Amino acid sequence: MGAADGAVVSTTKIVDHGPDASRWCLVILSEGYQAAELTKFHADAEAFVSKLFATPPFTENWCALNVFRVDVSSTDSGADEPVACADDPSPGSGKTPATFFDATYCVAGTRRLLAGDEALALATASAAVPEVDATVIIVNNPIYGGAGGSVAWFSTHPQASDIGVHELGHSAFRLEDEYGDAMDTWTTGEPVEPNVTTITARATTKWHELIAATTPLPTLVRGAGNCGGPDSEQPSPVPESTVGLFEGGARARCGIYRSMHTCKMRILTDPFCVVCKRAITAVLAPHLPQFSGPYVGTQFTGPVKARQTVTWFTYDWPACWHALWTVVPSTPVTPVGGVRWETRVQRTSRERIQYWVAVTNDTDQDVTVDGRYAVVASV
Amino acid sequence: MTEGRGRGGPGREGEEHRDAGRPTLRPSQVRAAAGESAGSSGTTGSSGPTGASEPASWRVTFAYEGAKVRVAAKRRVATLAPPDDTELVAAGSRGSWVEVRDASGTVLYTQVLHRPIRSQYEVHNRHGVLPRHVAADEVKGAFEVLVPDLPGGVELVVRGRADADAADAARLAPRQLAKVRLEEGAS
Repeated sequence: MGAADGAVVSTTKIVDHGPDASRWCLVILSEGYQAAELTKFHADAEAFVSKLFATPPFTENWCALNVFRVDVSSTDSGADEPVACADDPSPGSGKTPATFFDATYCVAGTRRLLAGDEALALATASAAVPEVDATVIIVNNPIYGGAGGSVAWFSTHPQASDIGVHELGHSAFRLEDEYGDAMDTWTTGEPVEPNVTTITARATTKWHELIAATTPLPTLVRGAGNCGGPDSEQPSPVPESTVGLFEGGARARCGIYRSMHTCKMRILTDPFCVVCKRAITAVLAPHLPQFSGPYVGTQFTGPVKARQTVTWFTYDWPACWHALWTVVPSTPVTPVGGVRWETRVQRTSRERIQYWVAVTNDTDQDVTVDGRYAVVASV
Repeated sequence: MTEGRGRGGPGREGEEHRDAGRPTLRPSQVRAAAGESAGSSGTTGSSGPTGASEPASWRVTFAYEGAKVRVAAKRRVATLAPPDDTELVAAGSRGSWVEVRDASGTVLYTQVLHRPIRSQYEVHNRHGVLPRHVAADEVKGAFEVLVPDLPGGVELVVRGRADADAADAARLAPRQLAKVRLEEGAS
């Protein structure tokens, strides 16, 4: 089973913020979708894009991203579900569908671990999009599962896409896990990942500039002799938004610190912590569109009768543009202040903005106005 | 005096609405003015050695099995590489990273990699419980790095550990895992 069990059908740019050479390019591959199911993949990919857009700091850096959907068809639908799996007494279905990336549950004897041919996924992504920066694979199976590595795998279970975002944190933004499970105490040097540190000195710890002078350091410790148990959630001694040094990270329960009480690199459903947001932004920001404006022009011209309000609406403005509006009468108007306007803005989609410019003529004479825009920045 | 203020919401009942159409300014005009034509390198200080139209990065794919790491593919790509992580690596001593070096061995660029050799899998759950790790059945896989094609950059070095399980690999002093010449056809 493998690449012979399907085909790369097409590549579609589903988020387009400009040239691929300059943007941060995410590739979404399909696994276990038969040709007739690729429409479902389109919806699944769109749902992941929406989730990513709703996850800060991707939201505020959205204009840095291009996203590609690569339709890969498989002979059969789904993923392998081995009958026996070491960590699960319930038998799997035993299904072994023939799929392109040969994804299977029960990787490493763990039912929820779902992964496939990583090398083939990397090669498929870079062949489809040479500028690819990160790759995720949606596996067409409703059972919760996923895994990380060089690419992120996750199933179509509604909550599995959280795995995809967390694993992107590792593979694309070099973030460490912010919990301990495999080691009791971190006893060696400072890790190079941006979101964990062994340094507790206020002046030199990795994110020292984000720590308030009044925040105790370390901020939360497990305490000597308490490093062998599970890294369960201890209550925070400070408000949740506090940046400090919280013990536990990089798979070690003690001796290493994260920046906040919780983070998406600790609990999948939590937001990224401030330090992780900063690290992600550092990677994305160079991909934001360059801007050489401002660009000015007249979008509309028209009459407004005495004592009336007219609202012009203009649509399909890229959400990445910062546009300012000015309404200017094209003939002299008295009294001063006789024409006023207000701009209302409506985000009609992830990528588009509609402006409503309501012009009120408070004078006793008819006027003609120009609706002028200035695009002052691209974000 | 004319006045302006912004507020949310669409048009209102009872107002006369007029269609002002789509933007008269096209995104392509903005991109062209910003020098972002499709296919341009769009680099930040990493343009190719022979000019801005040259590919600006190297994509190198590594395959690993056990402690053996080999180059599986290498090609130049017209795209931006991740930002330099020299500061992180200078402050740290444990983990994995890649270096672009010049002919004299001077490091020109550094990029942190998060555990590129996977010997454990992270097991997630959907109930707000911390994940955990389990050992992989076999240490076998692939990873890619994208580094800038810098003037004078002739060699890519991957540092980390492939001879220990993931927990220890993160704690042990890194070693050189692979070295690649950054030129077409060389390995």
